Amino acid sequence: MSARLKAIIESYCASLPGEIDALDQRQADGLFDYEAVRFAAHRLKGTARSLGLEKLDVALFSVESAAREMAANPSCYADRQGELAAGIEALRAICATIQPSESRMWAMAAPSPADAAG
Amino acid sequence: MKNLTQIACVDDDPHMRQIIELALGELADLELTLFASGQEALEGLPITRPQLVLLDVMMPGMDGFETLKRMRANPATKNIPVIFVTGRAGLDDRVKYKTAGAAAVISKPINPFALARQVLAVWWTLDEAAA
Repeated sequence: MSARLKAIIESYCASLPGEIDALDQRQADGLFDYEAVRFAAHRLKGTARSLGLEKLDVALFSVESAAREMAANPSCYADRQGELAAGIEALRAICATIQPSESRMWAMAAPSPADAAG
Repeated sequence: MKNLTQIACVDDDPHMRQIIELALGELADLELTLFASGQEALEGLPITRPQLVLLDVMMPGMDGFETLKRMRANPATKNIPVIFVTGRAGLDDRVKYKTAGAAAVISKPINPFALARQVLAVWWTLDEAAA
């Protein structure tokens, strides 16, 4: 399991910049599609959490929460738009430097005798 | 006790599907089918007819609740037990999931080293109840 798990962690980390670009799409009026942001952040958070990428998990939770609140409460759009944009930028910064070895699962995925045998 | 050899997993995140596939690879002779959406699952489940479905709750478009509701409305899939896999698994949520017809709930985050055991534990409970 260990080599495959590490490959999944590496693939996930490599996918993040593109995922954040996709999440950062704004509509013609300059506003976020809050439902889309919420779903994307939620989806990424589930995997981040399962892989034990804690900094990323926290940042995604923050973005998901802000987007959820804005989707449910359109009257706060103008006030929260900047906050959501800042949250996404913070997320982007984490994703730019994240290392697979930061995953708690990375350390747990120690090579087994079966892996060593190839 | 019947062996569990056919499972379907429905999750919109490709990496989560890979994690689940890896984790369930611990089960011998398993035939695992992966679906990326509720709609895909509704189209494929009548063909694959798994013994058990792991179903993500929060998915864009058709969520887990709607997917389960439509499974129950289809004679080909209505009796397939479903395990909801979700990050929201407090007591009130679990009551809601069971009321919706889920056989069990597995909490996210998923532990790849424990998932196979968790799924088997549910399967054995269902098998005993059916006996």
